[in-house]
Amino acid sequence: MTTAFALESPNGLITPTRSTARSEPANQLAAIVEQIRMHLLTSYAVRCRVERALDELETMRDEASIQGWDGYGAKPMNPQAYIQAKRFLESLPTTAPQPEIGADPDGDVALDWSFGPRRALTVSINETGRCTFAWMRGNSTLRGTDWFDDGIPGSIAYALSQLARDTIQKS
Amino acid sequence: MRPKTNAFMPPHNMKLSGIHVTGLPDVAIWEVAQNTMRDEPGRHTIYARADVPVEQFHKQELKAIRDDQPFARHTSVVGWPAMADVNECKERWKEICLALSESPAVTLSIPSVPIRLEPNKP
Repeated sequence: MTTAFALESPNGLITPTRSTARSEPANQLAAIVEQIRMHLLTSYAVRCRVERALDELETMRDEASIQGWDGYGAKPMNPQAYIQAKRFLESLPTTAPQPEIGADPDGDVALDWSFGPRRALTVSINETGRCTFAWMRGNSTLRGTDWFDDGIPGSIAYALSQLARDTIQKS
Repeated sequence: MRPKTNAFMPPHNMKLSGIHVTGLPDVAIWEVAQNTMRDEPGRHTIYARADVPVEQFHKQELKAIRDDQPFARHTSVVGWPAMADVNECKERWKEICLALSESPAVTLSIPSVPIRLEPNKP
């Protein structure tokens, strides 16, 4: 079985490969896609954006490091949630916009993307890799829970690609 | 710019704290914020504030109740949905917070420079 990869879908996102295909051509294709992704990640511009997000995560961890950091009894950022969020940021599609980083009162890490009026995605990551999310696209709002394991959850990648595509089409 | 969604996440006591600002001039709002937050642990800086018309909470089936505790004009936003399934509960809260954050009626005010908070002297 061979799985087709979208090397450059209309939204311009290149995500880490998630194929389960095991044939030789599929493996070769997966290797090519990964090479492109790694090449993009080593480029100055892309790497800068990832590092900026990781720096922001680090700053947020410092700010949310004590019990009650928000003045209302919030839990400190969970160290495992921090690690999951770091992996999540490093796994984001190379050309995806970087999120704003925040901390939830329950110790989760919050990631927010804004694509313009009423086009936004928010994700909370906990210590097990549980990703609770909600997104808004015009008058539609969707929400769900997915798990971050070997890559960005499909539901979140889908939300990001839809919102990015809308932005490209509007511009 | 929009307020971050997690700015509206309910704390563990399920009462989101705010200030009733109707009738207060802008300068007075910042003063209330500074005077009430400077003694809170972990509060060093005010970067911005979000002004939320009460109807926006009602739209989300929340209630804003002015209780004047622990300070005058203190208001608690209550009525956050509680569900047995923790995942579903957090999803719903995030949906509400996103709706508040993205509402055009909710405005973000950013001071020209972040306001540093000095603790009150005893």
